Amino acid sequence: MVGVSDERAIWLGRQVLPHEPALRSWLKRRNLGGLEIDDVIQETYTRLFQAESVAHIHDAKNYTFQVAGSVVIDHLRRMKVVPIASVPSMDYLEVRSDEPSPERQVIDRDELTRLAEVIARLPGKIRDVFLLRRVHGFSQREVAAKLSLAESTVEKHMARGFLIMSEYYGHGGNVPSHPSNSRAGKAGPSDQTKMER
Amino acid sequence: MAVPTSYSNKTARQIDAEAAQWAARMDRGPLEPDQEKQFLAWLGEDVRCMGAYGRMRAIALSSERARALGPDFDPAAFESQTGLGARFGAALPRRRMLQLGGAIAATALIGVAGSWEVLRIAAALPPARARPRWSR
Repeated sequence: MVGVSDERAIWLGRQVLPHEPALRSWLKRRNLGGLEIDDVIQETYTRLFQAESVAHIHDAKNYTFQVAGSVVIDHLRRMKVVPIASVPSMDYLEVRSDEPSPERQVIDRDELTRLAEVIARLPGKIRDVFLLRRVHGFSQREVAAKLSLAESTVEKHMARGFLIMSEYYGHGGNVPSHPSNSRAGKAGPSDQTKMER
Repeated sequence: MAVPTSYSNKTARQIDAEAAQWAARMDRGPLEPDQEKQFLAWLGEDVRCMGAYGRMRAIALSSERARALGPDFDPAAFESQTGLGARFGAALPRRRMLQLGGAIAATALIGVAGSWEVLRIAAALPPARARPRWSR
């Protein structure tokens, strides 16, 4: 939709998202020139969305690591935070993902289990909304009617659910059981400044 | 579409939260023309926005697979389990497991990921053994 194709999103969900925990721990060991890991992740996905085609990519994991590496290098160059000669570009660009990618079949089978787990860990109302919307397949409007909530509230709960799921997937399933309880309940932009790390 | 090359003053966390809101909005249905304008303006604010949104959209779309858990899915059965080691068999009754193949196929066919996924999942699930004829 508008420049961000669902088809590409589905590809990323299958080919890139499962490698995000590995990518994060790889980035953790590197000089990011003041960027946060999340900055690099987001810009990496932007580049993956902008890529003309992904049909030629056979090893999505290596490719993603390389894109992330070039995000960091471009940043270091722009910021001139370090003399460019000292940037160990090989360190970023010649990526060998040493650990073999898990068997695709195993990912597929575990995927539904992981989904079941993360839904189970969603806090109260968010979980109710999510179950009706995703497991039972009701529309947001129908969910709102069933739970006597405003449609905008249902949408907020969905947003909150996606955010929690993104933390869960980004960190390989290691997320405190009810992460939203420890933070501001609303996900509105105005609240976000309080949520900075 | 013009995507900037620079960062705004927003934190990545802030952008993730906004991206999740847009993903939830898309989940509700197509955007009105004025919302589409807002969305494009938001994407134009920061090079990280498109990636953050796309990532949330990827998560939103992949969670549609939850339909395969079936209407009698009981989240409580999964609540106490930790880590990724939990297997289907541990929490889902066997009958449910056998139904999963068909349910997954139905769900997967809706998505673009399509038939390959069905084949892979079908290959990953244990074979549904035929019920002995004399049992009914």
